[in-house]
Amino acid sequence: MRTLLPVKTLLFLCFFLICIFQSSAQDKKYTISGYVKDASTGEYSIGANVYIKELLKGGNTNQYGFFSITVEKGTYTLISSYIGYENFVKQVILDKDIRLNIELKPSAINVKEIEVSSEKTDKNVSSTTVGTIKLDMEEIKKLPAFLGEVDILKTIQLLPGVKSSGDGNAGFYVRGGGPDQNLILLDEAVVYNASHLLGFFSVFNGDAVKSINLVKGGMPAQYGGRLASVLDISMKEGNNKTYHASGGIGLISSRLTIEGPIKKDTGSFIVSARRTYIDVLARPFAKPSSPLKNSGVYFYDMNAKVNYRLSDKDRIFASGYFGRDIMNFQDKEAGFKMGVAWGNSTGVLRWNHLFSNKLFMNVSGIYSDYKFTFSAEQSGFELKLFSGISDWNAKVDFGYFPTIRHEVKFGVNYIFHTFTPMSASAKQGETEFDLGGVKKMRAHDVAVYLSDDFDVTDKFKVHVGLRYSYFMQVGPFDRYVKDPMTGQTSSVVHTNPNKKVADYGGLEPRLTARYSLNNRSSVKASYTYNLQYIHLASLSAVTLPIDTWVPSSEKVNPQKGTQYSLGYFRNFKENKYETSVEVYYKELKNQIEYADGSLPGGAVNDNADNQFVFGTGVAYGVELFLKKRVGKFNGWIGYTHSYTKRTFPDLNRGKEFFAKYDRRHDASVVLSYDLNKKWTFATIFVYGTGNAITIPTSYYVIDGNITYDYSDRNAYRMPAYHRLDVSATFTPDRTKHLERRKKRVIKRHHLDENATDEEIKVPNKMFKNYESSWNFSVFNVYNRHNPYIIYFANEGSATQGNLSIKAKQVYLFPILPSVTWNFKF
Amino acid sequence: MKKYLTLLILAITLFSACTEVIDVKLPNSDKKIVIEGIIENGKFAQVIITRTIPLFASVSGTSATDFYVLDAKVYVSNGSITDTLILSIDSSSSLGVVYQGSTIVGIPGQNYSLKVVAADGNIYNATTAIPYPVALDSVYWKVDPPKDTLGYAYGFLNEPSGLGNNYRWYTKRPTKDRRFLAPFGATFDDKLIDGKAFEFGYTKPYDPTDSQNSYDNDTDIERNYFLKSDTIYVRFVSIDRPSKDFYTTFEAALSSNGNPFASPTTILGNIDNGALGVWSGMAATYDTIMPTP
Repeated sequence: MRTLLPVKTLLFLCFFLICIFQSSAQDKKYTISGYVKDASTGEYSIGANVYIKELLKGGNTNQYGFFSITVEKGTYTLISSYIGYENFVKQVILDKDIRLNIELKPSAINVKEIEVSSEKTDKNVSSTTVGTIKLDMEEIKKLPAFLGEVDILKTIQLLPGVKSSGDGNAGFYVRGGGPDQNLILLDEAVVYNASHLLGFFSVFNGDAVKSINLVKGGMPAQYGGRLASVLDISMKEGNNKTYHASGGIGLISSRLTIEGPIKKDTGSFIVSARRTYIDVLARPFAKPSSPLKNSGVYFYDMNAKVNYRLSDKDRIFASGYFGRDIMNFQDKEAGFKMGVAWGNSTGVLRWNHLFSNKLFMNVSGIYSDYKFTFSAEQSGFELKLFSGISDWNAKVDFGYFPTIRHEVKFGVNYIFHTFTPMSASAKQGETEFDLGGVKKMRAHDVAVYLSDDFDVTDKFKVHVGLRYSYFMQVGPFDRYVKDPMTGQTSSVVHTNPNKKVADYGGLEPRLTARYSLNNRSSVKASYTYNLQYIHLASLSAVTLPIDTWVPSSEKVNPQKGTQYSLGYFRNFKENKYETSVEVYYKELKNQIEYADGSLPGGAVNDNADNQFVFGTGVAYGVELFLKKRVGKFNGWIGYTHSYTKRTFPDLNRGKEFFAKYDRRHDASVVLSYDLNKKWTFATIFVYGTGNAITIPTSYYVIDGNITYDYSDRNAYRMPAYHRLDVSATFTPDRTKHLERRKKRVIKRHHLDENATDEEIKVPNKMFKNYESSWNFSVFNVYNRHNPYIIYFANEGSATQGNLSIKAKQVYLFPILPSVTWNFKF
Repeated sequence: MKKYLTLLILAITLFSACTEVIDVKLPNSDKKIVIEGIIENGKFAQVIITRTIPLFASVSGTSATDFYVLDAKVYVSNGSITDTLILSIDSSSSLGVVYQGSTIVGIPGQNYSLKVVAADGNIYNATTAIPYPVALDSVYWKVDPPKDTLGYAYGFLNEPSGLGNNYRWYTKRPTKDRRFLAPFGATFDDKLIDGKAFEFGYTKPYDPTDSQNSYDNDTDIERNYFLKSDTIYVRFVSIDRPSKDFYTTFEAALSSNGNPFASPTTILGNIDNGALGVWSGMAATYDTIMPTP
């Protein structure tokens, strides 16, 4: 029997350690380190700039707000900047190691008033990150929201290189990769299905989210397990100074968040919840006889997080997410009952520890789970279907800052996956059908990595990373061996618990480099090689929660992705405008699809992967981006021209075909305008080439039935998707309102004009300030009927001579106005 | 207030999506030949040969010769002798026009090959086997409570142990149906039921070629139901694996027609050279459900 970690991996770890010791050899240098946080809430700032003005060098705070800079002895000006905050500037005399915790003041009480955001403004040009975008929640909240529900996934789809899959699909596609090739993390926990209500909403509650980081190219070595992208979402920690409540009341959902200190400046908590109530609202309108009376669709979710600083060197966090979508349908007349429920749950425990002012460690224990259940009952026949995936994950990550020229990251990650492929149980009256029970699949998933962000010269900076990953599917497991001639199961091979079924492993090199042409422009290039050991195959034309994850196995090889990208970045008008041009080329291996003629339920008493066929993919494109980041009028324009192709020997007669989400043109325009303190306007326009789909081209008759003959795979283009949304946010001026109110009270009670609050003996509560705003949105302003699905329906009969076949499209959303009231106190 | 109500209704309509008819420019496609051949135990082979019709072609603009292939040469062989099928009229077949065999009678356990030579010289080949028949233990009608005169047709099967059996169920009401018809989901294999004794029921099938007995014409109350007073003939056939693959994918394709969420199901045929359809050996057993008193 092989040990879990092959010898190779151990050698690799040794290599890591040697690296660390070597770079520890230092001469007379001192370190300034600490945390950056928001002065008003105590929230730690992720990705804030901390740099030395004289050297124009520094770094960003990590995911926990920590920074560390090591330079030679001297007197320096330390600057910390972060979007939406005033710059922090301090003279430091560095003749010993210094610990400095920085509190950044929000640049104005009202976020909208920010005239010049003061992040280190040439970041676009100077960082080594290629294809990485950080979004701020405040920025997202200003944009028009679909039915007033702020949606992170919808917003990232407005960025070049990220394509939406259309209305009603929360899945997104990054640079020609499939929806299963995105690693979606919520506080480090993997979220396997990021959509609510079949994709109308995402699972991320905007009120509970602090920051969003999207990596679509040049993936750093600390991330792995997916080919296309990383969407790293951090939850808010909660205000550690005072208690607050905030929330919103919208047309179809409401939400509430409560946060506050556990112990002032030391620990805090946040709890956030929301629920849609369209089912509750619709019910009174349904006729008593209508199935709607006993049916409903809704979702709810909850986020919670606590954190506590044990000492200056230790901090602990616990966070979790729980969400469920529920769909009930009951037609009493027909004696039919159906229930569907699905959702994610995650739980994360983390411990931050500072070994020294140069060595930061985080240890995480993570549980992540996705479940889908379906049950139906009619005339004594009961059917239950369920599927899911759950992970136990342990991680240790180190950040090491030996000198100002280096930022080293290394760590180990272990995941134990349990897959539940679509399983079923059924009975008709007394007869139980043998549906094979639950065929769980289990796998160990291990990775170690090391990376260094390294300033080679003042102009040339590289990120070098290496990741080694190893995956082993283990028993108990039953392999249904097929007779190649008949396709029938010829034997079943059983593997005992914890014995190896199949294993794979490999090195994943990552490299990005930046060369500054001057302080306004730079050229960046990247090469990444990724391995992905888990797969999602979909039988349906749209992404549905029934799509199940499967591990790499004897049949399914790990997906492999190689990406090359090259970009030119240039800022104009003193960094007011950022522009970039990026090109990418990507090769994908071991992609999976269902074989022709596969039917749902084919995995019952069988292995799901017996239905798969395998192929390769290629994707390439160019992305243009123009962003105005500051001023009353800001926003961005993105455009992508791209090709995404697949080749499967067993599909489309071996001919290359376009992937469903191949998109020649994809454009988005996002603009927002702050008219004054009260009003902000925003608009979004999106355009995308239609999806490539397979449609019938002719019909024929079998056993008297009209049967369709289909085109080549994905040979038809749906009409283009385009849409315009507008929104206006009105923030009433509370101070004026309160003034007026006070005057009225003074008048009524005949008090002195200059009476203070204390002198006015009315409940103080009346004057207590709270913030509120109204968001008015119109979705799909010009009422474009964007196709969700195209299908064909026949009426009449060929032999009767009255057959007519018509193409029909389903569109989901006509023009939709909405209003949401948001509050905070 | 009215405004809020409008907004509310707008929100409610959200989940009842809108459907509209659109114009679609079809990708190019070639005409293909469609072969539907059956050889049953104790019977001569019957083969129906037609062509595909462009999806939006009007029926009135499609002549019979565009649709029927009347000039093909069709041969069935059992390995030793060859039967040359002759174009004939058979009112009990689905389309009325068939190539009819006259020398080879289907025998369980034997293989049969089909060869179709089209007028353009293209040759299409297929082979099939007639399995050994598996008879049903009993057949009966059962009421669907709370209804009292409406119900479904049931069969009770003692499934022989050993994987590899495939079945298809047909019914015919002697006075009402022109031919044997298969209901939705008529084809199944023994993957889940191997060696079990169990009961299964089927709804009343419809003949898409019969305007007198179509799903659209049926009165609501009888839709999918057999009447208590119906006499029902049951034809229960055993088929080989490729035939089963064809019929299950064909049935799935039919059920996905007009279903917006379904992705196209590729029908798995067993005829070479790009022909659509199936050449299927069938081992049939027949039973009758008498009117329930």
